[in-house]
Amino acid sequence: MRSPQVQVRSGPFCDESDLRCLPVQDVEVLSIGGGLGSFALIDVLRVLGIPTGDLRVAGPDPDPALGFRHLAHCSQLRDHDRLRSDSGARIDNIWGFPGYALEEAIARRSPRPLLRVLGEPMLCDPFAPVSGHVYHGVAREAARIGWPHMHQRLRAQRIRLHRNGGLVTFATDDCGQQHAIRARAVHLALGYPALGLTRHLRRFRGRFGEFPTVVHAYEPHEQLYASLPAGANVLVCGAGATAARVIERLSEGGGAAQTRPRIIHLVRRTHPRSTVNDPAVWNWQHYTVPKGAFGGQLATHVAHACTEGSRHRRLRALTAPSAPPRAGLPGLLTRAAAEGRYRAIVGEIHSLEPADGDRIRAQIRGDDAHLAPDDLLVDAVIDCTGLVGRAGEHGLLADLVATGLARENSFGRLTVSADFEVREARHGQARIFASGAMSLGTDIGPVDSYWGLQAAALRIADALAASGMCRPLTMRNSLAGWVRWMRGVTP
Amino acid sequence: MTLTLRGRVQTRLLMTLTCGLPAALVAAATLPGRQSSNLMQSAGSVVAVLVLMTLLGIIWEGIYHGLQQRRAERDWPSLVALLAVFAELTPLALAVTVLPVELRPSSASSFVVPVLTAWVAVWLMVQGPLRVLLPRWRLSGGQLW
Repeated sequence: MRSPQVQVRSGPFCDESDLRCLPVQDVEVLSIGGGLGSFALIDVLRVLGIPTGDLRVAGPDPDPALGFRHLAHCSQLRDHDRLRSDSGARIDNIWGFPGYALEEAIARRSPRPLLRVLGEPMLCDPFAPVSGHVYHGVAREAARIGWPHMHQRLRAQRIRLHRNGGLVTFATDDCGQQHAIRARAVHLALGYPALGLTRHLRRFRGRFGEFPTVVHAYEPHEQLYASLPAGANVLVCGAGATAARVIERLSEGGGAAQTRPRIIHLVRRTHPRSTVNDPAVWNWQHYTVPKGAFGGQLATHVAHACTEGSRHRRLRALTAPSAPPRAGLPGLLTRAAAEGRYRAIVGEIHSLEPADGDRIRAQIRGDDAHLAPDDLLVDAVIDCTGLVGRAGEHGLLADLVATGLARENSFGRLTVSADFEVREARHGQARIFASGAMSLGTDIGPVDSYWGLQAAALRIADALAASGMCRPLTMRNSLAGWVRWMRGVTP
Repeated sequence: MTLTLRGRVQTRLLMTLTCGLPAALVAAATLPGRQSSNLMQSAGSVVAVLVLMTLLGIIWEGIYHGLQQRRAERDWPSLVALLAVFAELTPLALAVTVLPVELRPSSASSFVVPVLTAWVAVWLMVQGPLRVLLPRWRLSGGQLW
């Protein structure tokens, strides 16, 4: 039987009367999201000895890697493909040791992964873990820390400050029943709220409905590759790693060059390092940010910015779209260009509409707005412009901002302190933290990388330890936790 | 590795003291032809050489940091970190000559073996095990305080 739906107050506070008709749970820490961001924090807190009964995770999937895996699969990163991550950025191990390379070397009984780590990036492309190994490690660690006991299939709707202290999260389950979870600390790790459809693609869908040949790269679109006619023209938008993978996938088809798809690659602007004679559209970079931004010199450069505006400018420069140059992709593009199967153009979609014979007419406007747009007739459009990270696109975060419990920064993400706390929501001992994509703007650049999620988790754990909610991560605790990890023993 | 200048210097100081020195002392003690009577002298020599190496190392770290500026991603490859000892050996060998005679290594092997052992031990420690003891080290560009 459904319990009555309770209207949540519009202000930032609630009291006992709001909880009267609801099943209420009391925990120390609630992590909302249930993906890898939640997993990174809960893993640290479990290593620090917080029992599973004091931790709760609200999210749609029981497997913390499922959301990431779904997006990876859609964007052509299959389980046997390698991620864009380094050996030490282990999401299932807060120490990053032993790295993925050592684990793979043992599994394959080959020193090659270790030699790659030794020689990277000068003698060879950097080592990158196989996605399937990463998912397997996450599942193993989730079982070790008792993730199933902490996870609940709940969709968090609203967060309110309780007048008597603490935070109350109102959430609904699959049956629509409302629950209340009272916690001392709430952690938001919601990832990206939506697909970053270009304006014209949104308008196209609004006018003509969904076409199987006009897709976003993060939507399931496997059938598109199989259904392309021989010698099809495909418009690929975007200059990041996803665009690179999609182009690689389109170029994979065997047979004669004439029967393979012809790729028209649309980018909004050339890379800043390109020259007049060499208008580069790709920013080749091994990781999502330069390596020195993973805690090194470039991270310090961001952290030492005098103002928030200056920090955000530095972050924007660091997090510009880029693609990993591994697996010979630059060479593949050169060959495809020579065979007339790849052409890069700089501009934006001016209009998009269906044409005769299941084709799509795309008008592309270049840099010069006075020139008439180019007309392209293509068989498919694949939008690889990423995901939307604006807090306002997510119902829960939009409500937090509306009630004054959070503030958006210039990236449209949540403003968080150096220890990832949403300071506007501080209420007595109660704290809200945010990590992952929603925390872009803090002094850590790659917030949505494995490394960034772990760095945030450690800082949040330090803040919780300072407020007496858990023991601090000392050398002794760390070593003891690592030994238990190596033995596969529950923390 | 992604190190800041402060992280480089602090890591070198800590690791040489806690990891490099014990490894070098063990290597010196197990060198063939070593007699128990001159173990103390040998230990003194190892300590003196490593102190000198660390002092020069602070200058070297400044040079490495300068070279790091020439790398687009401002990183410092592990292989370069391992092989850098060969750049440091010759200046160190020259600097050892300023030590009092009783603290100078008695032979080339008693100089090279402890230094290389200390270097490799520190390098191996920094590649992974250090993160277990200092989990925040890799997140802060090697800075310890």
